Amino acid sequence: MNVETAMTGQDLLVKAAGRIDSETAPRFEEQLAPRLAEARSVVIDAAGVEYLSSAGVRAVLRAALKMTAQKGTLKLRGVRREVAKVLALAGLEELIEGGGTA
Amino acid sequence: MRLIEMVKASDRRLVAPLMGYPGSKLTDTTLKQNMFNWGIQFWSLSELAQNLKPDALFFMMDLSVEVGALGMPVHFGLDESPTVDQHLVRAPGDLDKFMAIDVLKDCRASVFLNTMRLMKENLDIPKGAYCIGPFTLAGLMMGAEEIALAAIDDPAFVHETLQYAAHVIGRYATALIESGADMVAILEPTGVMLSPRQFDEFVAPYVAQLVQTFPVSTILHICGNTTPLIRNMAATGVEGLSLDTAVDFPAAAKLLPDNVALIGNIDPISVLRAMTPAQVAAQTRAFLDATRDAPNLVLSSGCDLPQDTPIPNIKAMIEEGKKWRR
Repeated sequence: MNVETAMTGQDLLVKAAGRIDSETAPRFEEQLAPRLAEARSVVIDAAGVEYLSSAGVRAVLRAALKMTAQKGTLKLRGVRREVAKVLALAGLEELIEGGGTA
Repeated sequence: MRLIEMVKASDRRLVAPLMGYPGSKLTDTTLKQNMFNWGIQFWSLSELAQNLKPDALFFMMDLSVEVGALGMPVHFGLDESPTVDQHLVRAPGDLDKFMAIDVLKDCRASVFLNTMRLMKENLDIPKGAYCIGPFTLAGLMMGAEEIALAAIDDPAFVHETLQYAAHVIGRYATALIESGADMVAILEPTGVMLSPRQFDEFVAPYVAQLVQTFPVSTILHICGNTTPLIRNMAATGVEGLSLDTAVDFPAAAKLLPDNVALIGNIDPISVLRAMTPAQVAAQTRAFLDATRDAPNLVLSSGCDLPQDTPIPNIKAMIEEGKKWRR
């Protein structure tokens, strides 16, 4: 799994790639956490995310809840079909930008 | 039309008791059948609507839907309100067990979503849905005593649970609105044990978050004597406060801004269940006389009516309420 972040003003762009699973989700959250506090809007470019396990779902939801708590937003962009299916099973399809898949 | 607009536009008091359970007597069904089968629940509600002709109708009150959908053990008696048997969240890490669950894919959430769909298709009065309040859901997840202690010892844990609870409730209630609910009553009974300062920290922001999300009228219902919390409750942005019998309504009306409806508060037990229809009518008349100056009153019961509330008593309250004039 690879994560890159770029902050423009209060807009945080997160580029994630690879597998976000029980092994990698903690690292994903660790890299995100310090940047979320400064952000008003977060976009996760998930085009490179090949697999999202339930641990990955939890990590995404925790980040989304944190953003809601600080009256910000979090969306995922470029989500692959298989990853979108997992998010929909967890009731998180509304986090996908445009509600669709890449 | 929004609730407050309906209240202001009406030339009489609107009447809407919280009365789902007694509908099961009209269909000779058990509460359990109504809680698990949307055809039966709708049938019971439809009988209530046809026989009693309220100005609005809520579906059956069940505080266990959301928490049950998260997998908490819920006890269902044949003719009792469901109750939560165990509270599974003891530490922040315990929340992880629930985060990949979609409440909308739960079978009993479907019962209430489909009940509301049938209400929308078949009833031509305003239709109300219930959802639990975030603090009460968090209390069911953690335990009421535990959340009270954690509010002092570990408020960050309580807030983390509340954020997740608000997420679950928001998803469920939005689906209820999409299914046809014209208004949503947020049930936050556990909030009564909080001081106004604690209410503002642990209840108000999360209720306000839901209110801002819902595109329909919202009502906040808290059981018990909420007199010290009335201003704080109204400040959440809800359009109506549904308050219990313990609250002095003429006094409460004076505390509310002009854009908030006051809903209540005939005693469900000592009046509606225990008295005769003539006595209920007299009590209703006396209540309406006493609240004559309240600008935005909706006549209702102080809380949900027990299943064995005599139907003639509910009818007497509704008829008396409809014919009363200032």
